Amino acid sequence: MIKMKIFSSTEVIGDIVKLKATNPKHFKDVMRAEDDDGVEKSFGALLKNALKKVNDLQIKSDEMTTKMIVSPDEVNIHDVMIAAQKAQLSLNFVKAIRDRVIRAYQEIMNMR
Amino acid sequence: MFLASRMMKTDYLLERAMDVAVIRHQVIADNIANADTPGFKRSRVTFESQLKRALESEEEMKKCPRAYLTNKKHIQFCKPLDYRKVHPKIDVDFDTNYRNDKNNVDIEKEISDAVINTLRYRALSRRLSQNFKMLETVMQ
Amino acid sequence: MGMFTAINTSASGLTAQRLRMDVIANNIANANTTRTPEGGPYRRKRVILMPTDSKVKYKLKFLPRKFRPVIGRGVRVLRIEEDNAPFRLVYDPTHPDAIKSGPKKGYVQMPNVNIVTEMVDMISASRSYEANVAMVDHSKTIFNAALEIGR
Repeated sequence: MIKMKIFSSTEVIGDIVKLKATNPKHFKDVMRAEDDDGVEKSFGALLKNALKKVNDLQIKSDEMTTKMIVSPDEVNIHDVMIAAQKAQLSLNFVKAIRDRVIRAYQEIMNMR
Repeated sequence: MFLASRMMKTDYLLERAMDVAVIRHQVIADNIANADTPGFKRSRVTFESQLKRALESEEEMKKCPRAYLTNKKHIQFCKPLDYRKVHPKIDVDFDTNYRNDKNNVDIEKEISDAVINTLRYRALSRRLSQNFKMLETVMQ
Repeated sequence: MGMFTAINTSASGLTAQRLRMDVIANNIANANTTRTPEGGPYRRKRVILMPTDSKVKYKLKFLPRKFRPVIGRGVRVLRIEEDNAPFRLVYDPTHPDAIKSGPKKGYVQMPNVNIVTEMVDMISASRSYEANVAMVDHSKTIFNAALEIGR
């Protein structure tokens, strides 16, 4: 029985040819697939990666806000609001996880 | 973010649709501002039909048998269109004539398109907001 | 695609239509002016409109990226020019501005303003003005809808 693989929408199969860009004007036809979370080496690396993503979202939100102030002709209002919302959500996530971890740690300490 | 999950894919589609709705609003505003300019031809934006084709091609991928590629020159049977690569397209409508000065802007149609577009934008914005609220309730 | 480019586009339409209305009102007011400071009867004026970015729009099916249509930015008034249609001649020998001699003796040159045409133009300009106002209202609605995200 051949094992059937479920294709996700981010995977690309088949006839994608990797072009060798010899001139900066050539377009590199590389499908930049979204990096799904690969298997992390350790919990610490996973946490660090997550915090980096949260930080990136915060930075992006600040950049969009600055763009809105300085040159409103380049940015859409909903992009600004969505970036702000994503930053807030991710920060809430991290805070909730941190609280749970600390509570779990305290429970373990109290067991002694 | 994580586009493999269904909700994030919907969020992504909502964001793209909102971007296109803003573009469409600007094109309609330009059409109406030029409603009396002689020789002006109206423009329109196409996006949703291309997006629908791309999403349907993903559905068809499940019915298509998968080829067993032994050589790197082999090509797969079915290739899905990537919905992330669908971009809105602005078409200039040269084919119709409405007035003697070759202007083809129909104000009533533009206004009704604008109304539909605005309602759609409100619906998209509200849905996106609800999705974000759902994520917030997870954390409580 | 910015936050307010649609409003700027509609504003350009409002300005152009308002100017058109002013010119039409001036034409109607001077429909019977036989003597102007420059001499001669009043000449009908009209507004020449043009898209703001007058880039040529090509009709081909597949265009290179440089020639693809971009989003327009509204309308602008190129100039206000005089209509070179001939004057109306009305026979009125008692009029102080009647032609004194020649084949057209006794005729008065009246402005080349046709009230019916001006009224039709005025209705068209008024309708376009209201359509542009409606678009500004839509821009406001869209902006407010985006502000509701996450509220």
